[in-house]
Amino acid sequence: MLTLNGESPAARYSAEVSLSLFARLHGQFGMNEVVENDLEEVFEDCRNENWDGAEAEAVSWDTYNLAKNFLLAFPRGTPIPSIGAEPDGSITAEWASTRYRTLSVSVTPNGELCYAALIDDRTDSGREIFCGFVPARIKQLIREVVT
Amino acid sequence: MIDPSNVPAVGSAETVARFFFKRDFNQTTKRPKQDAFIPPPRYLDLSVTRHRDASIAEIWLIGRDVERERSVKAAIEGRSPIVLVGCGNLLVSNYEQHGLNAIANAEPANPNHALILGWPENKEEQKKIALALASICDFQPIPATSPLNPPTLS
Repeated sequence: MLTLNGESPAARYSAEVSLSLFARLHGQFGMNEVVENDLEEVFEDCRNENWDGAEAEAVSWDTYNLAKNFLLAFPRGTPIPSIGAEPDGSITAEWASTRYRTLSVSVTPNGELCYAALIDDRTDSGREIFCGFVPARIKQLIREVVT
Repeated sequence: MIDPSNVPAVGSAETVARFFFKRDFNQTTKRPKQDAFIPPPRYLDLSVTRHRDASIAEIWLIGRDVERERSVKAAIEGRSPIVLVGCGNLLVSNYEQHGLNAIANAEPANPNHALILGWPENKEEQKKIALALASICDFQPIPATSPLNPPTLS
């Protein structure tokens, strides 16, 4: 069946699916989904002490909110990270293209962004305060690990 | 397995395994994340299992025991099941290169249990070490179902 503008519903659906896949691959809508799905799941699973069975600290509501704001502060097109947690109650976001090109950012319970990167034979690390925007150093490291 | 009544000290040339669970795994790289090598803050000791005197099947049985124990706790607290995805093997000397050391810490259910100690308190330094260890470990996914490795209930 043809529509008034000459596109069939199937063709339009196909184009929408392609666009959605493209957008997901290129991070256009990815960060919202990461927050709604991955971050939410990590928080639900780690909000009580001993979530790892090895005496881990609970991930607090404040840490969850800070991680959410941190992730949503990234511009469109940013590759999506893998979300996790650490035993001190930090939430982690990891960007990686290979095992030797990895950046891990911890959103810590005291409100800091603590990061370490491995880029081939080079390492980098540091600590930043999150003030509502993503620190330039972290953006730069993401570019380095994913390209 | 190691004789519990005669547990030898851990040597630099020994291989030790760190078990990984679903959240420790990066789906992009199909590798363990550094999160899995970060020690708990209270004691700064990382649990590992020595391969010494153990068969591969026994190592996996220990991993399954840990998975089962943690899953029971998770179910009681209404959390998602804990899923074992594999283990990462490293030589003790790999840890020692970062200023860490291993000590035997036999447990009733696991006489091959050991602890990795000597972690820096500084979080960035911990993360740098954990990243390095995650990148070089020999990752072994949990093998497919076998009589020694029955499927878990889902």
